[in-house]
Amino acid sequence: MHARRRLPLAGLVVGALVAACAGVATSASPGPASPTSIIPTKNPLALPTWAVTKIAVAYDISGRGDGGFNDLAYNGAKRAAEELRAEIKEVTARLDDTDDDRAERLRLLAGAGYEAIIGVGFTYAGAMQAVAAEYPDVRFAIVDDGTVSAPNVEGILFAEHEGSFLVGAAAGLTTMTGVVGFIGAVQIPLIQKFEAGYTAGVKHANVGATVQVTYLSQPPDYSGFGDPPHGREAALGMYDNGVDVIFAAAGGSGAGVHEAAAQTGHWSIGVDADEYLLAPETVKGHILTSMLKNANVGTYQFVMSVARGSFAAGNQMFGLANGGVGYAISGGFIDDIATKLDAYAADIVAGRIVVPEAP
Amino acid sequence: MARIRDAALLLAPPVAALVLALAVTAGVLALAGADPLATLRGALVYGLQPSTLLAVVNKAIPYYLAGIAAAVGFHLRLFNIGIDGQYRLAAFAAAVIGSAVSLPPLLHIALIVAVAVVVGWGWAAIAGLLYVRRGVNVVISTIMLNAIATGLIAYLLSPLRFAQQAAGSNNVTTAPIPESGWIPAIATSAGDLNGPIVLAVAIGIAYWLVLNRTTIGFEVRAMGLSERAATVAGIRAPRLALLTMAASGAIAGLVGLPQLLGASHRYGLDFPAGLGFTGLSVAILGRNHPAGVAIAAFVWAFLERSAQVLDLAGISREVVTILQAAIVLSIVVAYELVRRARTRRERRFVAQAVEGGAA
Amino acid sequence: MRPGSPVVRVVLGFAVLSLLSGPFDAPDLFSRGGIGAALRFTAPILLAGLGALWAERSGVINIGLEGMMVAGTWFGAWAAIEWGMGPGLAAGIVAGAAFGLVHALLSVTFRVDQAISGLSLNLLAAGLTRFLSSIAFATVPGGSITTSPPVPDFPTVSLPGVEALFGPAERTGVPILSDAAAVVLGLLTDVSVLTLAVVALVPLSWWVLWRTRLGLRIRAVGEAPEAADSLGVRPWRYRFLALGVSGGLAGLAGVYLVTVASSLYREGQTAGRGFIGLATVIFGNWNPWSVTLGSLIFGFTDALRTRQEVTVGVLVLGLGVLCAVVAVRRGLLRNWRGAVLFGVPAATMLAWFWLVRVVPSEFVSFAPHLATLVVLAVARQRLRPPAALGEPFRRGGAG
Repeated sequence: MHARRRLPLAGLVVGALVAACAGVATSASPGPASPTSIIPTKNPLALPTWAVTKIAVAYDISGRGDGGFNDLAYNGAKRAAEELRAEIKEVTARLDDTDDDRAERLRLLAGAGYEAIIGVGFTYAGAMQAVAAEYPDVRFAIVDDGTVSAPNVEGILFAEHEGSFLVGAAAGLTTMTGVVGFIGAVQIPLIQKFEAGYTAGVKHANVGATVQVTYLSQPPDYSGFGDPPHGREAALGMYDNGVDVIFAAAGGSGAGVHEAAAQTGHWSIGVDADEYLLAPETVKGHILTSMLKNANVGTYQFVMSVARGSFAAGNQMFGLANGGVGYAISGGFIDDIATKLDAYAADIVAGRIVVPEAP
Repeated sequence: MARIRDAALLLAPPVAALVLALAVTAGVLALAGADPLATLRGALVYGLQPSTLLAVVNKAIPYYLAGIAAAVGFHLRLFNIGIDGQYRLAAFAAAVIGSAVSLPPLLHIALIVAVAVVVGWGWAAIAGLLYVRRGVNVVISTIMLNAIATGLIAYLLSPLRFAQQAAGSNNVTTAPIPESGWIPAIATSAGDLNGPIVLAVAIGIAYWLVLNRTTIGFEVRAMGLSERAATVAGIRAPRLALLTMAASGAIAGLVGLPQLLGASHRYGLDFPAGLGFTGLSVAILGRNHPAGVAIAAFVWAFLERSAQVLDLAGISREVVTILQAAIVLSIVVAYELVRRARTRRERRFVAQAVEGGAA
Repeated sequence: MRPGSPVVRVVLGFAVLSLLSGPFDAPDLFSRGGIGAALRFTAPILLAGLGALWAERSGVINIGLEGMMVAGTWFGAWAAIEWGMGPGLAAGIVAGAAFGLVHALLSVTFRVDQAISGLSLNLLAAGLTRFLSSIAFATVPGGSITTSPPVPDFPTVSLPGVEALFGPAERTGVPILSDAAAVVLGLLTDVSVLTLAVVALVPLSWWVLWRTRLGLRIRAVGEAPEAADSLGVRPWRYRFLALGVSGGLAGLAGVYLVTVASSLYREGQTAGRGFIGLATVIFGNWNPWSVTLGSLIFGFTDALRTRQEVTVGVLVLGLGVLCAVVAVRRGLLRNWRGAVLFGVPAATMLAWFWLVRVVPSEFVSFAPHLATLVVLAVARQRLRPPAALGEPFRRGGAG
């Protein structure tokens, strides 16, 4: 009996130590950087503010490749990197990350000499607050969050509701059935901002119109950001039941919505990027417009401000007034109502229209 | 001679597992174009830094609790896939109630723990009852209950109900728990050790005691080894199954507490999710033994942590996931092979003894 | 047709729901588009269920279906992009089957605990596909570490003549008649060829497993492997075969997801369908028809709640009415316990519908899960799993 008991334990102890070494052994750095460059040091050299040689982008769970938001954030940083001839690195997150894990990620980056670090997503707020204090010479930015207050952190915020108002107005002016739709990825406050602005815009432009709303998933199930089949079925359901314009605030799932629009001969509206440009030929003709959330502008400006020494801590709001959000005109489908939309935009900027941020 | 063979058999499984896992990983890395041996020293320095080891221990605490919860069920071949839903529901309820009262420190913490345990216990008991009364397989019911838990939390975690949203933040959280409900960290030379490790250790000890020193533990072990024999001995399977599921859920309820009591002190959209599945893997690796699960949790957390460094070095961190799967598979195969070898030896020994006796 | 038989119950349920859908504003409950969507949602789960059926009939629990499906999505998408639809189909099935054979190797040859083997394969598949994506998709335009470029689709067909025959009936708007016509139209028009293949696999599985010698042997291995072995039917051989088929079916489900259900590979696409398929086998008492019914319950509810959230409310109303009917029947038979058991939920649901009407969207998200759970809990059945399910076969008895 004894031998049997001891076997698992002893085996595991040895196995654990050995497996630990195995885990470590797989950490390979194929690049020109020396092994010691990945070890965090507490006090990086105090660099002159115009020297940005390494830029890092840390994503939230969805990572890059959705053709939308994360890609845009990366593109802005990449453009800056190219202009500054700097190195750029991306790192991803996991669903079971704790603040500690996210902080460690930022710490590793800061310690490895990255001077401009961007955290894409509000989940980085807590981590950034802590790490920013440990690395006062590194400049941080967080996208979609305004709660971090530190002298070396900038909050990049967007007025999604304002842009959504405009595409909502476009939908309201285009619909022939009087019923339009909204498909959100995940039911979280960030996406609900889109919904609120959109609904307000629809009603403003077309008083009698109604909006059908659906969310593809509930948190912490973030599959709604990348589930084209669900997006397609949800859109088909709406189109079958009287809707003729759908705003897809659903990240990667939007591809399914556009497909459904093409299939049924109705309209869809893209989000974050100008989806007309990336869509396949068969689908393009049904994308009325896109709600542009110019994440690339935000990240580009952040990196350049660090490089030029004009970095300003605190929240930067990118809205209609400074071109942070807007609507796309590719395809020419809304040329006839563009002047009306621009008039609404002017009203919003002037404060004559107040767009709600929550439904 | 026999001693040497005994020792060899003792060490064979972990060694074999290591070799196989390393081979798989080396192959995968080669496919990725990286040199497996390149930065061994640098990565080792990172991995064995006191601060990293401490972070790994902190990370391992919820893994351990989830592993014990899974192990409890595994004894009766009840796969509690529902740990995920149970711990999130429990953490949410504990956060809501914990933030609503103010009590002297120990009582406050006790209340939070009690709420978490009761909610986890109750949610799992639903699956247990369905199994015992209606024959619904635990795998199905727990999967369904996970989805229901997600929806419930999503509904309740809203500014309209039990949560709040800070201005400028896109995160929705419960109200923060006052400091009397915090478990203080244990300061060590390497950093802060998460206080709830005490809870985890206590659970591990309790688990071992109940399993090996109580009647009910004996019944569970007996039932696990041979259902027929146990039933003949008068142990009632349904009652035991229900108790086991409920106990598993009660422990699962604690999985979110290290985060809640020791770190974030509130439940929000950024609360770690998916820990339940890690618990299943860790329990398998640790062969349901309290110390084994502890080592397995540590190894798992270590691998997760080192994945961050991999990410930084430009290698897909999924190499670590493959390594984890390879380790689990190879350890299990190795143990089976060793067990077979030992059985053959025992048979031969018995046969020789019988022949010797008869001759 | 006996009053209690499942067919009668289904027809009765259909009639009740159809009558309610009109006045309570849920035209999508039985509509052509809705049924088509239900098919698309059901197919992958059904395939996973059939996969689980084959495995479990041979005596092996296959928890790794999810991983096999993931393998099917990735390899199916990759091959379809590289070489076209046919190779994509083949690659997905082969990938799934390969994982199935690994499961067989582990659980039959090495006698690793079947659940552990399955769970580990899920883990492996997840990591492997993300890793492969980083090599194969991330560098290609339109692709990334989590998505593939667009994948070609399979053609859809419509049965000729159906539209002419049933179209007018659908348009009349008469409650049960038009809904029934809509159901027929939804099933037979605008259906992907792959969906038709999936549907055909159900009677095919039944026929192979219950009407051929091969199937008999597979089932024998699942019920009494020692007896089969003594007659020369080697359990390991048939378990390997069954698991290969099981994995292949799951892989096919993956291909379905990337071609019919959507048109690209996306990480996390399977979303637990492998586990739900496993659930349908247990719900289905290990026979293919009940597996189909179980998959339909989930797929239909999932389709409904995705298309129009309001429909879920009417579904709840319908459930309430049905529970009330059962409660009344039990009361009449003086089965008071049964009457209360069904009366209480009936009263709750009807009262809720009267007062509130709208299901919060957070709750709508778990409608299919709740529906499946309720059906499982309510449908009392004598579960008869294969006798040797989950036990590794050891020649010579205890080891």
